[in-house]
Amino acid sequence: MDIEEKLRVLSAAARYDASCHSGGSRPRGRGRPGPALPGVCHSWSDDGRCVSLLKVLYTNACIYDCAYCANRASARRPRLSFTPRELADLTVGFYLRNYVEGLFLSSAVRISPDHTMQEMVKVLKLLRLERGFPGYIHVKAIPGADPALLREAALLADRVSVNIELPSEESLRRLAPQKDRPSILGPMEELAEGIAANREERKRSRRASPFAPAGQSTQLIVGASPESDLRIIRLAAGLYRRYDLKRVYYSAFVPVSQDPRLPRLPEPPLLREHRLYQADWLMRFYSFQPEEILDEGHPFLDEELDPKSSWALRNLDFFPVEVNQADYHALLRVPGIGVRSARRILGARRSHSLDFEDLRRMGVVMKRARHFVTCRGRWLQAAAADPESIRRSIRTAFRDPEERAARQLALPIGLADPPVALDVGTGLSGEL
Amino acid sequence: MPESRCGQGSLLLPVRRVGAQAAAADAAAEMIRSRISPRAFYRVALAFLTEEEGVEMDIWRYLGLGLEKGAQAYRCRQDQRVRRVHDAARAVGRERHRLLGFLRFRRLVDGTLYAPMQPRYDVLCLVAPHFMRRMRGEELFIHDLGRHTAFLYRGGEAELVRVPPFPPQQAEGEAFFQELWREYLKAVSVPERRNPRLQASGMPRRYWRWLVESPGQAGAG
Repeated sequence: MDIEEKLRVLSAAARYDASCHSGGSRPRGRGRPGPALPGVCHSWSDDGRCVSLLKVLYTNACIYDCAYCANRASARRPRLSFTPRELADLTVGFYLRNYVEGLFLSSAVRISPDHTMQEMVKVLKLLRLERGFPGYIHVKAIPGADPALLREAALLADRVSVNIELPSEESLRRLAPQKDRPSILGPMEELAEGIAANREERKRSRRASPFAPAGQSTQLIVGASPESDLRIIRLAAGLYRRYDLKRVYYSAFVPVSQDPRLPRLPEPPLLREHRLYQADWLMRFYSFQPEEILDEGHPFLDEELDPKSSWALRNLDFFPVEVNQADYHALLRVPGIGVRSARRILGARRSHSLDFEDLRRMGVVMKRARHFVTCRGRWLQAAAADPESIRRSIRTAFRDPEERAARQLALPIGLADPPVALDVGTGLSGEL
Repeated sequence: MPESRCGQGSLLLPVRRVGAQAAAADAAAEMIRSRISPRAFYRVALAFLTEEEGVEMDIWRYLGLGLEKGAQAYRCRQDQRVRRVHDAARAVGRERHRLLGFLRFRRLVDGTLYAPMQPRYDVLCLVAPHFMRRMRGEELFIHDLGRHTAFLYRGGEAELVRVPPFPPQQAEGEAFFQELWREYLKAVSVPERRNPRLQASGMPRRYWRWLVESPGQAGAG
């Protein structure tokens, strides 16, 4: 089988992994550890996602039979595997030509988890030890593989990740019967401990080899199972807290099989995915709690409004915020003010008090912010007072009714089980 | 510097043109770093690379403000003197950052890695050090086709030279790697999520000409 064919098949199979992150690590080799490097995007694919890594599966031959996966054992398709040498040559060749920052290596499970993980470690060894490859490496941990192999991979890679796949244990049981909670959370815990211990070690000695220096991340599929957004963001908050993850990625479900256990969606729930990312940002950079973003009465994110604006409309008594006096955290709560503009406001108002024109110039989105702030005690003239008119003025305008209808259908309706039925009980929920 | 470029800056005094003097430039740079801040010098250097009409006078006013009031005067983005230089520096920095990703190297017959580009601003000297570090042990040739300048790095020596555009002779096997890259990009795109607008906002069209891939051509993966 030629390399072109393998690349075509094994990268197409890896495209549903969302992470393209290539930063947060330190330059390898030479001298003292420098500052963490930022990521570089090398290209944008036709679906508008940035490409910074050679993202491939080592093999697509799988012993598991997960319903949502194109490579499940029962699917009829050509099964291919790279050899470690082929993959190392390809990675170095792409890296030297500045096509990519490095390698994102995932895999189906061939023969056994240990066997697969061993092959992947071979690729990493070849790259790092034989070729002296300085680029970024993100490697997937194969659930169920020997922890010793996992540690070996983490010592060679920049980032390791274990995909949580689905937001609850019930859904895992239903759609990915061979994976379970311990096989996913086990490696995650292992990595979290390793990373924390390594951080201490490196404080004491510069020579300590880095252990997954760019941390760990995970990914879950949105829309293949009936969990609510509240449940998903609680899970994410739990993962951030408990395992110190760098990122949780949300991947809109794209049907790749006709399995009757899966919902039929007219198109992937992209807007829902987008809103979840916004909620995720609120938790990580704006100190929001999941319960502030959603509650049991409203377990799904509003499609028409970003989650911060939704929160603001439910908490109008928090406003107006006076931009010349409010502290950083209050500024961050204002729709239309982000981390960057909040910092700029703090810097600029030392020298003089700010007016609306200043805010606009600092990059504040006045379309949203004008309803929630005052400058020197005054509202902007165009500010609205009641929630309904504010909502009308800031909601996302869909281009046409059809688009809107399609977006709405993308919510998990038409599933065999009603969503509430699974929201009870334990599982991979917030209280991990 | 043509006189018209700084003429509007002085209402009363005559404009006198001076040539570049390395020693004076170093002294001025050191003075800016120590009396204002190292960051101010970096920003000024970036802003200068816009090569835009009147940028010298913007820089002059910016430094005047800094020398008078210190680096904290630069916190005030409302001040036009600050904003003009900061915006220019940011635009140049952004172009540098983009090219770190968008530059594409081709292996030539003599083994050199060759990368053509046509940046809006004069960022050659800003991108080159990144690639010297990145491709250790390789011979590099980064070519600014618009300005006819090139950065050459071979045998541990770096130099900046004038080179007009020329047809590069690619090594055998180079076309194969380029084909693999195009195939890869086709394969990683999820057809159900096709989004040309988002693609073009991440990767502005003016950079497409010198890429190896042709964005938007993949169709359904």
